Amino acid sequence: MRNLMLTLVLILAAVVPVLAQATDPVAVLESGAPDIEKMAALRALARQGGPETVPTLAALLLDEKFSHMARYALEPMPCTEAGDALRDALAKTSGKLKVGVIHSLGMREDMQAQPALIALLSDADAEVSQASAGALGRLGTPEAAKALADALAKPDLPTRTLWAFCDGLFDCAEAALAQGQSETAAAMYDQLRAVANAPEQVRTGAVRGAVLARGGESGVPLLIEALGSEDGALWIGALRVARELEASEAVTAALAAELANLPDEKKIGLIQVLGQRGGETAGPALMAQAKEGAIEVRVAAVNALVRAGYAPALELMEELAASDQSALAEAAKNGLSYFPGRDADAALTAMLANKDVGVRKVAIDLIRQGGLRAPVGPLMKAADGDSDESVRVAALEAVKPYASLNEMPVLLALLVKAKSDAEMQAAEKAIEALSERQARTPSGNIVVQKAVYGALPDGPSADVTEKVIQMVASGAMTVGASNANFGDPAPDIVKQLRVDFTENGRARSDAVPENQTLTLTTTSAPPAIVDALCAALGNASPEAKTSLIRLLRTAGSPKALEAVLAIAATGEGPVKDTATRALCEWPTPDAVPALMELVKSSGDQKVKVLALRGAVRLLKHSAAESADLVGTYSQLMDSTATADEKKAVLSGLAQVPDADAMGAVLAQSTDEAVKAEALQAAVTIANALGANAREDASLFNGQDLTGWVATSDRWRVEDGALVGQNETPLDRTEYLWASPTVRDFYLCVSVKLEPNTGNSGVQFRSEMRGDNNDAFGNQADIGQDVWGRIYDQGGRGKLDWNDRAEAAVKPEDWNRYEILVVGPAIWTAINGQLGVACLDLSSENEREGLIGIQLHAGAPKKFSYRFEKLIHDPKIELVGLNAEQLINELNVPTPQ
Amino acid sequence: MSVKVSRRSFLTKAAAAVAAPYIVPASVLGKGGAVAPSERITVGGIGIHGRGFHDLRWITGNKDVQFLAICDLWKQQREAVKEFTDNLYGNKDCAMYRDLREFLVDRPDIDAVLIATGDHWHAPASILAMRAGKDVYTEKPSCMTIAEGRLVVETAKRYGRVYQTGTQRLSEPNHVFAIEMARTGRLGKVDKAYAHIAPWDAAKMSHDWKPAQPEPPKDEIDWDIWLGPCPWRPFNREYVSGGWRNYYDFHTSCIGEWGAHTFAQAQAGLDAGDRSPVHYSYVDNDSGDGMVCTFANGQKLIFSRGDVYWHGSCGERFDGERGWIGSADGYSMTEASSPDILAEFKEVIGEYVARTGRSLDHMRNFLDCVKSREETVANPSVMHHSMCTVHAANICMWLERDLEFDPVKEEFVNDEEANRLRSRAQREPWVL
Repeated sequence: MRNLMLTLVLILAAVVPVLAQATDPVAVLESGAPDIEKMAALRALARQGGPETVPTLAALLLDEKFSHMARYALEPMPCTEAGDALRDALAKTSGKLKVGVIHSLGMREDMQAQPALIALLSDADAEVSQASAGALGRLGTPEAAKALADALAKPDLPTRTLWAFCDGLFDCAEAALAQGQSETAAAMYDQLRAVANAPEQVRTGAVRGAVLARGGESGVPLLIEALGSEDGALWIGALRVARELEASEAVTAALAAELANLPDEKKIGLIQVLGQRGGETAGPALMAQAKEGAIEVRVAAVNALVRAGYAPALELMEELAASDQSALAEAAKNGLSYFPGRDADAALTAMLANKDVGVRKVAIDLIRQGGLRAPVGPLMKAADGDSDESVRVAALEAVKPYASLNEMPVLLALLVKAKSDAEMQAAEKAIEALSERQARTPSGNIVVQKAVYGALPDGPSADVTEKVIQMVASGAMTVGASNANFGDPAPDIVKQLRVDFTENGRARSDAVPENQTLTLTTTSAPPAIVDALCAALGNASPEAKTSLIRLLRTAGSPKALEAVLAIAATGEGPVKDTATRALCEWPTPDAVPALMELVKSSGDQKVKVLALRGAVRLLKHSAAESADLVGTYSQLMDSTATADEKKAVLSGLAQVPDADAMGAVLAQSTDEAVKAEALQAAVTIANALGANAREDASLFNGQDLTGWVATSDRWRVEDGALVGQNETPLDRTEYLWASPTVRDFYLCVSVKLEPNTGNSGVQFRSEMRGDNNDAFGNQADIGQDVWGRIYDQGGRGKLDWNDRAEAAVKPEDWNRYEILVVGPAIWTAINGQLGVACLDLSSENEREGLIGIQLHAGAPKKFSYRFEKLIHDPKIELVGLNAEQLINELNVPTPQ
Repeated sequence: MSVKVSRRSFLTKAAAAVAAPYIVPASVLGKGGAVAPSERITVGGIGIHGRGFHDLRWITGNKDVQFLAICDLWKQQREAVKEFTDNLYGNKDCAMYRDLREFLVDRPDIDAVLIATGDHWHAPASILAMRAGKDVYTEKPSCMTIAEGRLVVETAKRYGRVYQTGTQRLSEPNHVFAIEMARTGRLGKVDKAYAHIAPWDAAKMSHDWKPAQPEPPKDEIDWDIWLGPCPWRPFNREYVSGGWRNYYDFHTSCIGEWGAHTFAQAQAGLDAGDRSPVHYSYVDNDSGDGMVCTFANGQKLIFSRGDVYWHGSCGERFDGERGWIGSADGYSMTEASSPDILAEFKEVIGEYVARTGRSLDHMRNFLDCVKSREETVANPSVMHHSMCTVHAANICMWLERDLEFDPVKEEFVNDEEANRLRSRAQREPWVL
């Protein structure tokens, strides 16, 4: 019966396209099909072949090439014919093929093959005899076992044969055990134990099996004997079976009793077993081991007691936790922290009342690490009431991450009445941490994305993200930019710390120079904290006052600021100094006016510096208008002469995206000491400009002179271009004025001048003066030998006479003339060639004005202007150069 | 109030701090800190390439390990491993073997072997090694058929051997946390676990042959050993250098590729390390994606490929009454449906380590057990019962029908064809 299903399976199983036409597997096998197709047919028969396919397979069993795959098909076949075929093949095969056939008979558990397999045990071919042992083991019958045991009695078996015979006998023993014949099994294991020259694995397996077959209690004497044996193989077997034996207390008791008889190096192994077994007798035996003896043994015993969950051991662990043997103390502490269940909570709490200071401190340390679910109560009790100062301090330090507003009154009282600096400091730190936590809005927190410390932006630096995350995780809301915190990635260079983070989901980035503090939050603590601090100020000692002032700074509300300002103004000595310093480090921008005052009027240079840095730090967070910020920064700049402070101010200005800020930083570029930083700041600002660029179409309508102011009839519109012309020599220069006012702008105009020796120019930021509408202000010049240069009409003359664009001019033809003016910077370009890059620092009063066209006095000439584009507050880019390139082109004047 | 912190560094540190003391300190074994030679675990390697080198660095990174010999049918790799370990120890002592039968007979001095052969050799090499009295650390997937897995279990028991399969996530804190939350009931009743399967390849694999090439000399590559118990096919060098994946004879499909890990992870959380599902529902796709395997108690193990439940690889996830929890490669920490679940990390890991005494380093757990003779975290039973799920699921996909499995008899109910696929006749002389 070669059914359709089988054919389909073959087609599905086969991958060779030729087989699509195949009929059925047997036909393929009997054909001259390629080997791979025959293999596919045999795979198909393995899944679905029936008795009708056996004759074909039987023939293939004798075929060197296909014998294995014939077995592949026959071995899993449920029909008896498959077994018959394999048995038949036994006599007809030898060597490897016979080994395979024997193995398949074993896999089929073919009982009829038993006599033949027993005979083959003594076959001259070692591999045949080994395979027979394996197959007999699978039969697992008493006869098979006997044959194997007899075979094992023969002397001088080759190693692998010895192993195979033993393996077969193990298999028989397991079969007997599985059938509940434990005595038979035990006898077989005993035979294995008695095998001469048995290898280690056999000795191990035999003792394991012998104990297991006898069952827990009757196996114990054998187990104990093996534990005490000099033979490592028996020791290993004993340990294993001791773990496997049922949870009988009698077995555990016997093992526990043996503990005392073992040498130290073996004790640890049995201790671990007892830890796994647990139970009533294991506990006391392990306790005894934990109490005295070699440290390694005691450590193992403590670990085992924890594992066994033996609660009476907790008291011992309380004691051991303060041991001067660090390994022992460590094990006991771990036990107390992670003891299964909740028994350890009571133990930890009880430790706080121990008479030994060391024990009490260990308890506090464990609670600090999370040993108790409710740590605050016990810790506060210790902080308030312990007789030992070091315990009180430890408790205050431990409560730091847990204390809430409820603990505030007690902590403040502890601070005010503190008997030592250490205690006061610990109380202060605890209040500080709690206040910082309270300052965080309920939904929000600080998530640090990236932190870098080093010579930013381009110098050597270190990624300190992990470290900052850790600091934040431990409650810090401020991060000191110091080598102490981050190491020194750039020796001898003043470094910066930059942190990118989110506060309540809002992305923020902040940077501070080395040795300053970066504050990660701008929110203030709730009023209750500030009120409590202010109230405590009243009758506090000067030492406590300094603590309270620092805490007020951390809290940082208007009321806190007021209190600290008052102390800074009226206090004296260290209290006043602390208040002044607190102002310099104040977390919120409302301290800026006070800091500005200190910068201006403090007599102490150090205070000035700190106040300036504090002001810069706060201004960076300020929400003030750009103009106000530039003004405030400029005042700060004016108040300092040192390069470091100037750099600090520059770093603040760099964050203000405003043309005047760019002007302010560029004004510092003439100072060699800060030139690089000033230009860098200018680039930063320049990159941020252009966000509000606006195009202005009101300049010229292309039709007529609407909106322009002329003083003669020499101006007209022709073919969409504005034309100025004098046909006869002109005595007096005149101007045509446009209506828009420009400040920071980009203008693009096409200009044609005939002849090229004539002269014109575009006035900008200029004033129209006098009856003749004369021009005062900057002019982008036009004409031979003046193209693209900047001239201050009616005043300072040639501002930048760079002739770089001259060569790009197409005489008496149209020329594309671009003018970009931002703050003190003026760039021109002609036909794509940069002309001047003028830094006009002395023009502070000429930054705004009109656009005008000049018709210069002199010989007849005609010029035409086509206005292409006027943009206010433009992005800084010109002729393919970006902001950084344009800033670097600027012609920085040397200081006079 | 609870302290809100970025958990990553905090938790990792906590886990390390918890785990460390339970690693058997070297001083217990040797005297005065250094490990005495007699206390060293002597190790040999069988078939170490690719992932195997990672394992080799891992195991030799433990100072109580002495690597003594490499057995590999491929000369190039024998020599590479010898060079590595000789450099490590500053000697020329690493012995080389081609045939593992000789290696195992010749070296009674070796305690344990590290097996990182191709998949089809993992179980045969493990069984032969344990029969020779070696403890075994083997890469996954650790057996090709249900019958092979059963034989690994029996052999390990028979000789009292310590065996660990390379499902290292069972020892990684992020996964242990998820598993223990589910297993101990902290997540409430857990009725569903999801396990990640590889997002490439299919459940049905090829029987094709690569083009025949001339067989190299045995000393260079022993092709007969490479094939081992698998059906003969003509030599092609690509198989030897790793190109055996996706072939029926050598691979356990996209299901076994990751399932060897993730089913063990998922079954551990369902407390089913010693059980296999009883029902497998066929899904009409190439991969087994979405297959639901049901345990006798009604719990479900569901396969998922791609990134539906994870944003990393080799993940597991548990759905319980209280919410879900899961982990995958690339997570800085376990993820869960709510922060209060994650807040239990330290306590759960601490208790796990205290209760089991296990190291949270998979290799270290193996080495500790070599000394203590305790079962490892990924012991033969765990390996067999998760691989049983792999094999049953594969058979379900090959036969394209639902399957019932009797986990006691380890046979399919009323499905002869499926039962025939539980084992494969081994090619002589590589019969076990």
